[in-house]
Amino acid sequence: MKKYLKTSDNKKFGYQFTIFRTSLSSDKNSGTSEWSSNQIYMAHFTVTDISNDKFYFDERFSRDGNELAGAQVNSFKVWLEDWEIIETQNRTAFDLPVINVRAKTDKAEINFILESLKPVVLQGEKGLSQKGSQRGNASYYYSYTNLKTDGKIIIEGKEFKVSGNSWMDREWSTSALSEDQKGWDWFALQLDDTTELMYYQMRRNDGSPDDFSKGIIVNKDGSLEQIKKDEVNLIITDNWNSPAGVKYPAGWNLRIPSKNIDLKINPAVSDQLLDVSIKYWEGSVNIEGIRNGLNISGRGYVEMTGY
Amino acid sequence: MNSLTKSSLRYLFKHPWQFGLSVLGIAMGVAIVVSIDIANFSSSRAFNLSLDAVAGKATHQIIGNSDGIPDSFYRSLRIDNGIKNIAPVIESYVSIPDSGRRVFKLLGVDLFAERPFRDYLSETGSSIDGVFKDLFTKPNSIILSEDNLKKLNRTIGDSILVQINGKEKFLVISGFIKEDENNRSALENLFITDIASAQQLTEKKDHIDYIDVIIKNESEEKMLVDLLPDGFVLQQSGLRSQTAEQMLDAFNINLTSLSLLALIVGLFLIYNTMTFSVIQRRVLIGTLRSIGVTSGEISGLILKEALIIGILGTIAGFAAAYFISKFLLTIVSQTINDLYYVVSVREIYISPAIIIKGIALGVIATLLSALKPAKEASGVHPRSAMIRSEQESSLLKKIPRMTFAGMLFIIAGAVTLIIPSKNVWLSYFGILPVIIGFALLTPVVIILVEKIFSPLYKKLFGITGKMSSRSILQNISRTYISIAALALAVAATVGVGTMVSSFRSTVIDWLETRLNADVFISAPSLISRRNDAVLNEDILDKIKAIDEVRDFNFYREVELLQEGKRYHLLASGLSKRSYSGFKFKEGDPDEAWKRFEDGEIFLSEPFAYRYDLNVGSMLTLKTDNGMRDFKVAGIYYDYASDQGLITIQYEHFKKFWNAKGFSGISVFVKDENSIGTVKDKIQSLETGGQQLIVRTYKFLRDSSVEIFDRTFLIAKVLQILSVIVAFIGILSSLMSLQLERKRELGILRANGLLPSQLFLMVNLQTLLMGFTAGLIALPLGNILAAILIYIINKRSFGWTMQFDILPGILAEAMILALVAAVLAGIYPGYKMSRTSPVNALREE
Amino acid sequence: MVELKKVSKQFSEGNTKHIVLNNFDLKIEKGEIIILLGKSGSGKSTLLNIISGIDIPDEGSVTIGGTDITKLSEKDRTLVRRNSIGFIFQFFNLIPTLTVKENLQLPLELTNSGNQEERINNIFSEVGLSDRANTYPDKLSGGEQQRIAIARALIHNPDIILADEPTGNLDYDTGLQIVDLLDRVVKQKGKTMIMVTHSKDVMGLADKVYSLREGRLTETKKDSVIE
Repeated sequence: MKKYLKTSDNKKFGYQFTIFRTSLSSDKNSGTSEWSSNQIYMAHFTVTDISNDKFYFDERFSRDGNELAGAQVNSFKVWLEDWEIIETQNRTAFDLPVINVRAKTDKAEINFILESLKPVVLQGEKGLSQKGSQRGNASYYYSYTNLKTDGKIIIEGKEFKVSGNSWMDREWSTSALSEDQKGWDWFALQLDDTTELMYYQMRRNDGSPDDFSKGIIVNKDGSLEQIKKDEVNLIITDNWNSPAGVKYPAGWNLRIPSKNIDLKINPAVSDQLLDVSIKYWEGSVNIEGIRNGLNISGRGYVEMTGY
Repeated sequence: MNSLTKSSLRYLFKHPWQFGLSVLGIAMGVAIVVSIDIANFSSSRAFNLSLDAVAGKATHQIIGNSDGIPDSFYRSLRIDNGIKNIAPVIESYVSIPDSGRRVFKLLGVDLFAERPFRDYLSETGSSIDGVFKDLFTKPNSIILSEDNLKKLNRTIGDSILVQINGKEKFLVISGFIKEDENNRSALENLFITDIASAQQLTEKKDHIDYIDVIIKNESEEKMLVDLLPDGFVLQQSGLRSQTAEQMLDAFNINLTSLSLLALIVGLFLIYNTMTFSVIQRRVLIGTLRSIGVTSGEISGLILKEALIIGILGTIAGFAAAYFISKFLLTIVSQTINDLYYVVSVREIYISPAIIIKGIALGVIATLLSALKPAKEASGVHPRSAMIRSEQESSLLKKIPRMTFAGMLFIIAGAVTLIIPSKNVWLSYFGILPVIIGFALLTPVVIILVEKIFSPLYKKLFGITGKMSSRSILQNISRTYISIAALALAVAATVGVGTMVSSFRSTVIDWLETRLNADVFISAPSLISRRNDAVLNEDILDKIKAIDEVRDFNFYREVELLQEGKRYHLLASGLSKRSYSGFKFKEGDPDEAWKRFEDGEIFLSEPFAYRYDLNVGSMLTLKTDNGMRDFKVAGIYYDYASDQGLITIQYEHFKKFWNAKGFSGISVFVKDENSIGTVKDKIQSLETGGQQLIVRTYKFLRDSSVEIFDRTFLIAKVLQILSVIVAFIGILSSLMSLQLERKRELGILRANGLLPSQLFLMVNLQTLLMGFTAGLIALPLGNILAAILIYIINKRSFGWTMQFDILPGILAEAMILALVAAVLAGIYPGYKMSRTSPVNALREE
Repeated sequence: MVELKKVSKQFSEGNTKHIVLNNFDLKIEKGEIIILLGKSGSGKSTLLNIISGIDIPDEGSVTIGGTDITKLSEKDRTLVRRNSIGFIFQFFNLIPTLTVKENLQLPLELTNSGNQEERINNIFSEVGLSDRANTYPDKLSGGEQQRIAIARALIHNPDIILADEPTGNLDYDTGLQIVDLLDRVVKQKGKTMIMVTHSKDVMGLADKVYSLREGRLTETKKDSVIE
């Protein structure tokens, strides 16, 4: 989930909360203990305090044994200890979900109610999103691209009532990258004309974009427009050096001439690097640009791996 | 080096026997004390390291009930209360049958919760990466140190057959951790496994053993304490090792004191040697004084000599300690494993404290024991330079005063000993004046013996005989010290021997009354004196179903950790038949049993002593429903544990504690002839993999006595070592004595005494000295035994023991004294008999 | 040099008191050689002990080089002895664990004297035996031992030499040699010496001869001694 929020007095925040689940073996653990498991959960949680130029992040691991972490389908729930995403209302297949999201670290805490404003978006071919040429380098992938968000953020003991919009992706995969791929740059952008744009660019080892890069536009009415790699022109306009000296892009010009889109994307806070078991940059971005000849702005999240 | 020092050094080297034996005596004393210290320290350090390794950076532990902590409680701390710095732990021991029963600690952890706790798991993460998956996904996978992997002669993927709680299980090696300086000691005896595997292996269904916690401040602590249900406690990490150390306190003090005995004998030796060297050098010292050497310089010279002996002895002692301690360590750790807890010690650890203590004892004590000779030397009148030989009369005059002082010392010791106190050191402090007192009484005993034996010797051996007896008296200032030293060493043997034998017969009597069933069943345990393994409850039903079984007892032992103490609670399901096995120290038996059945508790004697409890006292115990008071119905004699036991009826136990399973079952058979049949039937019961140790009464009795003997093996070893020191002492002083008499003996040779007659004379004399020493040692030894039994053991452990004066030990002691003396006389006798009369008469 | 005033000393043996020295004065000038005669037990050795500070008198004062040593502590008396007195014994009393040379070195070390080598060589040239410097005393004959003992008494250049029967343990000829030596190194060098002796051969050295009888000192004519 990548979200942009603001308080009533215009303090701006972003948050990201991801739960990963990995199965370590294809066979079920044959152990009989309540702790026996072959599933590992990992979660990343970040809050970007845009107004104060600060970034908070944390990582957690757990097994699903002893119910320390888990996922359930009926009455949807995913949790890793006390970090959780829970569907709060029973619903029929046609209802849009209402979800409670809670996570906290020593310094930052969130507790939101999310209500989807648009129907589910199945990414790729009916939800199967191919990420590379090999079999298995694909994911089942769906998104809710616009969820109305209300709740509170507590930072360093200070509580803020906030409201805004969230974006939720859910993805299942076996492996993420093929051998000739090095990483990806992933854009999830919410434009203020109630359009959402998602684009991911798989990066090859030589830095060039892979053919499997693609994207989608979600129109105000929920209708979709697929975007192919060839239609997109993505230029890096700025860079940022991490404390460890790794160079990350820190500004982009994303143009999709076929859709009349020309956006300038800049990080809301330059250091939104997650220094966790696998280092990556994922953070809130500001968008200014032109769509169909009109000025447009927006907020979004960019995720960059493999640097 | 100035000429004075040179002269004194040359004196030492000109008397290599005296010098060498003094160094040897100090070396032995230091070696024994230091090696006992090293053995004690190494075993407790090995144990602490293993605890530290397991505790990691945890500041506290949450200890649950008798059956541990439910998984759900841990989950609720993490999820409902969002507490992060906690980690679940299951701890157990496994032994490896095909590797000499080597014991490893099996540590079950949740790797995801480990990061803040155990460095060697998280920081070396990369080196265990490849196998981490198996550890997590395959039951019974373990990782171990690379070193252990090699020692067990296995590779990754191999399995190891282990015994855990009396069941055989296979563990699979999924990886190893490379050792480095930081984790070596932690990994020495460790198998790490996933918490799930540990739970399965130990059959702790839905429970973990404890939760490690890192707490940063008091508010966190308070918050956590508020979350704990009744019966749970939050305790500091260090407490576990502390309580373990407390268990060993008395044991260690007793070992240390035995080792000090050897040193005291060694110090006698120094005192002896230095006194001798002063007496021998009276003329020389007088000359030095005449030509202007001050008395201060003279005593400085003697102290310097003592210092040299002390330093050399200490160095040699440390060197010897290195070897002796390795040997003692195996005995000490065996005893600890028999009686207290599982520990595997493979390395020798030395602390600065041990080194300082060793040096202090070796050097400073040597200097102290040389103070009196030094003072004596400084008092040598310059006039002595003009006189050929000093008379012995000085000491003879002092004998009445010495005897009186000796009496005073003994009384002072007795007064110190009867001061009511639990302080064991105070008791040892009381022994010292008694020993000194007896040493001071030695001259008067020599006079008496001489009075009796002089005529007898004359009758038997003629004038030579008379001379040999007479010269003990003539040289009394020298002979009495040798005799006292030998007497002390022999007395120590008598004391320790009598104490051990008395203790042994007390324990055997007790075993014979207590073990009144016919067949005893338990699970294999790693601690011989305690059953830490648990039998499934259904085994009892199966045993009951055996035809020949008339009746049975069963019990469950649990350890209660409360307020930094470690209580052993024995829940007994006793048949009335077994009531007679309990002998009460306090409480009317009928009344006591009635109350016991109503839920009151019994205490074993050591427990009641340790915690000052009597019949009618209340004792608060940590039950699974919180703290509860229990009334003491009786105090019974028990020698099973020096830590003491609390006994409660099983029915009542179950009201307050959840612990399942039995620690032991004992069975009465209908017909004595069917004992073998019952044993076989039990052994062939279907137990679901549970191994049973089935022992008959006789076997259990014998093996208990065997453990007892093993426990006291170290006392025996120390005893032998102190006798060796004493032997060195007497040899040294006899050598000096005879060498000094060179002139006198030379005159005898010149007057026609045959070498063989001279040899006989010397040996008759040493024989009489040995006899005198034995005569003093017998009462002193029994007094020491009585002190050990009635005061030291009582104060250390709270045990009441019967005290037997054992003629066998007394006879042995007398023979020991005589043999030691005669052996010590052979060489000097031989040497003297070979002296040419010309040499002997020559001026020095 | 040495002055004893009203010196008394008595010993008690059991219940009987034995008066050894009875209220007498003695004055010895620098360079004088005094010989004390007397029966065994007459108190000659006691007198030497008192002069050397080994014993102190019950009454009276003993002044050595201007200091009343009876007023000094035991240690200070020892230091006076160390610096100002050389002792010669009947039984020589060399230190058996030191070589001849080291025996000579000892007083020099005790008095922190300089030029030790030179002094030792000088004294060897007086008493001879420099070829035996590195042997131990027990390898020397009695006469040789006494020569070394005399050397030891003189080497640190004390003001006073005390000699207790220096020839008493030697045969006649050797005794004469020692007398000869004392004449050379003591008398002719103008040193002060107090000697206890029975030997008439030594009388020639004396400036004054005293005999000690019942605690009293009487000066005796040298010639009259030759009885």
